[in-house]
Amino acid sequence: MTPQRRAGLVCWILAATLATILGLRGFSLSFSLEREVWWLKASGYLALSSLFLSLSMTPALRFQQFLAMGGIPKASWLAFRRSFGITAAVFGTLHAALVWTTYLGGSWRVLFASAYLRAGLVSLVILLALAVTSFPRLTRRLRVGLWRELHRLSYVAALFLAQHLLLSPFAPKGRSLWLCVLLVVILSLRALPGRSPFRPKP
Amino acid sequence: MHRHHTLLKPQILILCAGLGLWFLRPTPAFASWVVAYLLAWAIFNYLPGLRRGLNLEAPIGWVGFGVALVVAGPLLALHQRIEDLGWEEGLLGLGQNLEHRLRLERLPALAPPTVFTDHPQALYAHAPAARSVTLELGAGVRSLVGISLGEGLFRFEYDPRRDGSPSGEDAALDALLVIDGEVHERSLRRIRWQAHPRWIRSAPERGLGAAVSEETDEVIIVSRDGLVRRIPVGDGPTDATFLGNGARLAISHRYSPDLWIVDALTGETLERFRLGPFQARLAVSPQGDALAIARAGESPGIDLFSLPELLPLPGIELFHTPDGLSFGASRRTLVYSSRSDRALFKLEASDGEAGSPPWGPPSPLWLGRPAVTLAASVGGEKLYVAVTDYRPDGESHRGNHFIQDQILTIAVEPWEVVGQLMTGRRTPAQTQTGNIDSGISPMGFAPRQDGSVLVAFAGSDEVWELPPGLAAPPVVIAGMDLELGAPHGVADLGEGYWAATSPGGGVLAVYSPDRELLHFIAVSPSDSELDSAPEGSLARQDLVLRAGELAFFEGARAGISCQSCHLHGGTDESPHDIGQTPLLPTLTMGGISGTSPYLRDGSFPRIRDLNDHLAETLYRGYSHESPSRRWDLETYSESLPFAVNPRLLEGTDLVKMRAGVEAFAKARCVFCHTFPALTNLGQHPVRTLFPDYGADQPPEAMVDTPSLLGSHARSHFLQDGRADSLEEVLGEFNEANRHGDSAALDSEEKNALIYMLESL
Repeated sequence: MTPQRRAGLVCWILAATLATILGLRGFSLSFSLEREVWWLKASGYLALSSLFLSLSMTPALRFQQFLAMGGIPKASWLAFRRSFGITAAVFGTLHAALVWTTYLGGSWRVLFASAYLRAGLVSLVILLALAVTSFPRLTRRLRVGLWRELHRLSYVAALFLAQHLLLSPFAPKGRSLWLCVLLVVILSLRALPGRSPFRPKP
Repeated sequence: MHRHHTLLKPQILILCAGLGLWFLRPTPAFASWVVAYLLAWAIFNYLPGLRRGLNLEAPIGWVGFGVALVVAGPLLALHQRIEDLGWEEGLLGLGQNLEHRLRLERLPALAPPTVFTDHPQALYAHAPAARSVTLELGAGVRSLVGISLGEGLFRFEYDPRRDGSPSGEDAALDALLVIDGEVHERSLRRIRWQAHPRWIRSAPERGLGAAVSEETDEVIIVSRDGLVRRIPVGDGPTDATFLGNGARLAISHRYSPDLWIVDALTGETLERFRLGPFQARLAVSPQGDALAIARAGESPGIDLFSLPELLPLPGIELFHTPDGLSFGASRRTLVYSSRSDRALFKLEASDGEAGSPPWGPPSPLWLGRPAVTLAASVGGEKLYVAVTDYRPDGESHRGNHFIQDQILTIAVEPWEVVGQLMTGRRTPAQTQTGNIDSGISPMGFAPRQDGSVLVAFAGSDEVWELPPGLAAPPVVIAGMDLELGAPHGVADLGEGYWAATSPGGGVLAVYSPDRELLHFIAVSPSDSELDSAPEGSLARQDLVLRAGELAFFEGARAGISCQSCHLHGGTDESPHDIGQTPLLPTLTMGGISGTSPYLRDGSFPRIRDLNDHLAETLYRGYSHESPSRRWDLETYSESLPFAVNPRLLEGTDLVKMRAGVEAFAKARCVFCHTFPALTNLGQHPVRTLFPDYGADQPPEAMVDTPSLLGSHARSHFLQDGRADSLEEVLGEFNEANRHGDSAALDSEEKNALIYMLESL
């Protein structure tokens, strides 16, 4: 099994299991608004966690290289980075669909009127663009040459998610701030010296 | 060969080109940056020739120079739009909102975040699973034992008179919450008000005036010769009036249950009558043979005494809380104002037939806006009433931010308006068309024997002398002649002398018949004294509160002040067009501390932004500049307390309240109205919570989750005040069952829930 297939399988089993558990938990709530918000929160946090895991892979690889340790091969790190990123886009889409059909009642005007909803939408658009360009065959067909410059937007997507979290009415602010700190730590770890996994082949 | 001299060129190129594209249409939104970046990326990705055309291997110096040239314009444009960007992206005031939310999320949590040293109050703690909770407010205050209300909610009843005031001079108060023996430190803000001589009554025949200071529990007696004495009285004196040609004073109290009768000259307490707390204004009949006391609280009404013997007469029970009070031409006619009804009511004694009530039903006179203040002429035949608009049909004015200060003259016997004097005026100080600099916010009246009337204007720092019958233009006393900021009370001291009060400034002043300032009586420390105190001290906070209070009453150049709608710091109970539909009733400002953002849709993250957007822009600013006004107003606004719940003093049924808290949790109200502030400070689309009602609203209409603390003082509920009662909130206005799971409650649980909400 290729590292990409293995990472995809792990991510999808994990995601499907968590989504099923959290979805079923939502059914146990009798108050309609609370039930809907539970599903929104569950899908949103799954998307967020997936993105953070995806963003953590490169720093983790750097860390491994920094410590001059063996262990997980570079290809696995990169495969997990891709799989978690795609998972984030999928959960983000699910989250957006749930928000759209329940909390927003299908209104575009609300979506564009609130800063936190706009931030979430922009983040989703970026994640979808990155997900689409994560499939080599599709990337070739789309003639994507500046792949790195596009995929660096994953950090921008994370920043938009931070804004989305900090402004959203139901996200606990203490937890949101910790997640922002975590994001800063992840971004900082990229500064560790080491061979960049992005370095182009000569 | 130049690799070590060059930058990551494609990335830099895309960033620069993105900035340049954004500069073509510099929309202050993050999303527009992303769009610009993606466009730039697409250009360089799909036009590789363009990329190659630019000299990618140029030395770093030239690249840097080019980059600087390209980004300079966009960065300048961004700098100019940084505040717009903050607004658009919800980042303006985010720090304050996060601070407020974190304070409420940090368990055990305590609300509200302020402690007042001048009146009884309730604080709430949320400590899930706790068995016992005590609150320590520092040295000088006994431990407050939390009353468990269930679901981890605890209530502390704090009365500074009973429990003591925190010692020390710091405005910040480190409170200790002791949860089952474990100590948690929480920071509160202590508010100590300086003396506020507000309403003043007089005995012209003796040349005396008496002003109450509710904040410092005292009555201040002045004469034509200056200060006579300061008399300490019960908790929260609301009014004082002279009896028996000025020999005695009757003093009503908001929190003490007694009406005090005091010797006006010696200050000695002569008698006390237990009437219960929440006594409001006083009135003496023109013949001096009856005393009336308006009473708020759970059972509003009017208490009566015959004079001079001070024998209790049968009282009058009312359905509305009386605000202002006056007799008509005799003790057989009473007039009171009701803020929630925006009307005056006249009561007339019946003929005394056997079995009939001693007073007939109240006869309304609709005003459309509540009476700001009222006073009867010396004989009681006429009534002077200040209002911000007059609508005889009682309906709301549909004009945008409509305020038209005026004085109505009402003939009591026929019960009709016989005169209407618009007070807002233009002056030579006008700097642009339509400025109003005079006659803003009439606040106090002093009718005199000769038929003239003195009027204090809190919004324009003036006292007007209206000639009898308005036969001549008013004489305006202002500026250095008056030397009072936001005057409230004015009183006739006889023989042409008069006095006026400035509660915000903490001063009274006595004036000669020639309108010259004779005595300037400061009953609170001067600005310079307060300013000399250390940073962070109560005294320094008092200075800011003083400036904020004066700014609160100060009229902007459109002739509007904060006070115009937020009557006496509360609400005028009137729907206004503030740029939204439908008309929205004014929110009270009491208890807003720690509840950012503000307004019904949460559109203003900070009070200071309201000052900038409303007062400085829509209302055209003020006649004098004050760089600190926005901060002063914010501090003052966040220092206004909740109206004290009558049940705090008159007793609460704890069993019912606990059942109410249980019902509150069962209906999942806690989902948004989170303990202990009973709000999570979040905003939601109106349609999400109220699908039926929201169908007629703009889709983007939002509603801020209000704190339910202080609900007892509201007469209308939901964001446009469409519900007249909490029953309606839980019933007909929640048919979709999205605003709480009220369908899960039976009628007993609903009643308990309503009782609990009314007890907060």
